[in-house]
Amino acid sequence: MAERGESSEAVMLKKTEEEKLRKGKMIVGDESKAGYEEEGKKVKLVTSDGVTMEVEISIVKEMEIIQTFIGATDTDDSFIFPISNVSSHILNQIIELVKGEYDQELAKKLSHDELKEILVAANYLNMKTLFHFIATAIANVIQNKSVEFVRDFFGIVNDFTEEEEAELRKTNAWAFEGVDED
Amino acid sequence: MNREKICGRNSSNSTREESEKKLRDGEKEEDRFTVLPDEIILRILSFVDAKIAVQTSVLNKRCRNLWVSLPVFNFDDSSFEDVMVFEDFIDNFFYGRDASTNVFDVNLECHDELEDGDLVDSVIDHVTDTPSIFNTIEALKILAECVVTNLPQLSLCKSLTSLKLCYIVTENTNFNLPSIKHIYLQDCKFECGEENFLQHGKIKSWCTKYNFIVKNDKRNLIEDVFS
Repeated sequence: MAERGESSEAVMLKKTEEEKLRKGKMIVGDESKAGYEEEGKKVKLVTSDGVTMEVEISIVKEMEIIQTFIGATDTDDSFIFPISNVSSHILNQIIELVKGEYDQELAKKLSHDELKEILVAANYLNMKTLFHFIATAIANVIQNKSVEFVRDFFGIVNDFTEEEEAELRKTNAWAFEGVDED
Repeated sequence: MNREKICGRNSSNSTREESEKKLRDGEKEEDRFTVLPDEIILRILSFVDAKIAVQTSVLNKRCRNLWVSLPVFNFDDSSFEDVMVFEDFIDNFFYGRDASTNVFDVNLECHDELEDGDLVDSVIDHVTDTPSIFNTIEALKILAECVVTNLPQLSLCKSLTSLKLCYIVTENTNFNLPSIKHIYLQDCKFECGEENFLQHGKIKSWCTKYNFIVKNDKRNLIEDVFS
């Protein structure tokens, strides 16, 4: 899977070069047509689980990693972008969130794992608004929760010995005022 | 880089790794979790209260010193017993943080009654005394009902573009905040009048919520300044 992802990326890069050359030869004056095509245009993305999804250009516009390619090339409708770090499930969630204009109510319906996976995807796709939105949602989830909860949430295994943890809580006691030890 | 890969892993190429981990940790099927890299956890911590951020030091050894590199400070007295303990927290936080980490955003909220402006002034002092803060800070929010004297020191913060002040009283009359682009003032009292404050700062409107208390009250002041 990883190898396939790499090779398709290589193909994409190669195609980018070809497109650049082609664009160089293009006749100027095609902008009006391009503007028209922009409306309702969809971009094909292939997810980590091999699903090809057609995503509206308005949503893809928020994915800066894809924009870098689109901006640099004259991609046609048949072009498929591999997003090897994002599953179709997570991409669907992202589409819903963007369409729902980042409503915090939508974030509340997401599982902890979905929140984390969307955050990682937002980081990878370089979607700034989505990253900010999900990071805020996660901050709301972990705010005022016990250390154990936060540990569970982040999937962190406690590798301190009891003594080490007690010692650290003592050193940082100024941040644990009013917090129960258990 | 390696950690980035782990975090961005997709289900198909990490199945084995995960099932091994599940076996090791005796996890149930639905307990599959995503491991976030430090950099992303740190960015999440920028959205939480500084107290919570410091508490993450006991999560595990890897997180022990994450908080010292926070690029954003969110100080809020709500989770503290009293102002003394809150002040003590802020002192320890400043003492313990990595002084070379650049800071972009400082938020100080003190909802409790304050006897004087020492707390706010000491935070402004720290901001304007620390190169890694005053060289990069872009946004500052202070919510506290007290008389503040150190506001003019903020002229040192050349990258400060957003200033939000709530309930602040100041007797200063000379402000020079050249980089400020956005300002939000709520129930603040300026001895010099907002007119001078705003003109010195070359300030444009940021928020629509204005509720000035002006010594020589001019209701149409805002339109005059912002038109």
